[in-house]
Amino acid sequence: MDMLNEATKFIQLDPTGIGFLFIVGFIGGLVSGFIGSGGAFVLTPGMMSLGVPGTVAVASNMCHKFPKALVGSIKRYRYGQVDIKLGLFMAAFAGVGVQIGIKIQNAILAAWGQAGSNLYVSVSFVVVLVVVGGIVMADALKSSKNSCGVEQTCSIALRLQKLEIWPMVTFKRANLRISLWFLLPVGLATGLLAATIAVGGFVGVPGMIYILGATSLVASATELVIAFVMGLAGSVNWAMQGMIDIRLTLIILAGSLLGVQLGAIGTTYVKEHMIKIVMGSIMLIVAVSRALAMPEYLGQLGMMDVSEATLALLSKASFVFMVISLLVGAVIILGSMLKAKRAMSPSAQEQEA
Amino acid sequence: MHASKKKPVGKLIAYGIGSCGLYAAVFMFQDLMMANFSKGGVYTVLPIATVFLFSWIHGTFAGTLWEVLGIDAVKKAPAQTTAQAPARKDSRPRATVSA
Repeated sequence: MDMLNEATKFIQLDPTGIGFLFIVGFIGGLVSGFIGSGGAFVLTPGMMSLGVPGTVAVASNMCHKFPKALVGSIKRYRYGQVDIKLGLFMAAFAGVGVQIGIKIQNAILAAWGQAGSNLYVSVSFVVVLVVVGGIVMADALKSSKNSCGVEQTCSIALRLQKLEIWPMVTFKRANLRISLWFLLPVGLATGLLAATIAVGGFVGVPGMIYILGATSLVASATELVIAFVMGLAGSVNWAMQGMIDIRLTLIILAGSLLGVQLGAIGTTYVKEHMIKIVMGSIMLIVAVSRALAMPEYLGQLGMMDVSEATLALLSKASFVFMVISLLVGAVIILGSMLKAKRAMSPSAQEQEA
Repeated sequence: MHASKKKPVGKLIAYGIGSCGLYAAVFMFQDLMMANFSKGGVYTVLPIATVFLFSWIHGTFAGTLWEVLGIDAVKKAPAQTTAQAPARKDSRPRATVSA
């Protein structure tokens, strides 16, 4: 690698940049620890806004994700929420899904160029987030009305579990037995989405809940195992190309290791439907963010006429919505933890008595 | 959560010093690190091993910090368990022999 490339690849860090990465790392970690994924997507555009080149931002972000997922999954394993076997099965299929996703991306890039590829990513983002986020949110609101607060296993999942198609796999911790043939598409879709929009958990967690029949606690905790395996493989790949800025990774990690453990602790405070509420809210707000980014790519493909000023405004609005989604998630998590803690305090219990 | 539980302040300080030391080292030797960590090939092991080391030291510090601050898991959340009907009490009058 020549000196010029070295000089332009890695940026000079100032205190503002360090503070920004630490805070976003913390909030992202909090969300990831609670819902299993989805806390890191603000970091790549965030780093790029500090002047970090795209590939270095993606690589450094991925390199912080897997240790964060490791620490979070160990914490949640101690609470009895992680099904390692389910996580490893899903990660293996997701690995295949990633390869398929990359092939699709390359084919689209060859056919319609960079703008076409960006549009495909944005459309996938919006469609998946609106559909899956809508389902998760509707279900969360329904179960929040259920006064007993006990999560019901989805009827589709129960029906699929009854189908005895060889080979059947048993997951003790998740307390479910299902055919490998239903596990396979969920894992593949997780990987496909990870390769396309970089957040596989938005399909992986709802897939484990609604198709396989795991509880949201087990699904979100097991997603951390998947994120660890996939993140480690991805990071090794980026490190071999020398794209990781270890300083950025370590600054984000400083905040996210605090956040991920707080998020994991938070899951023991709240009712299970809160995981779905946080996930649904984040997904729907991110969908708005990505929808705002679409006119730029439509303009580049000549399918829409938009002025430069409008595009700049839309781009800013898109980033703001992404930040809002993360903040909303963090506020719901911290708020419900605080509420649960107050309700458990001795004075509140005395009042009840 | 439990006032009677002893807080691991010593552990927090030890891992806190360790974590601060690691971060200080990174920023003191950042030029040397950046030159070697981004070489690729066999040097791949450097960034990967570094993040594992940080997740152990800083991760333990972060976990202990929440514990010392009194923010700890409130229950060992059980995974989905099969609902079992409670064993029914036999409330029928027993036949007794009074001789």
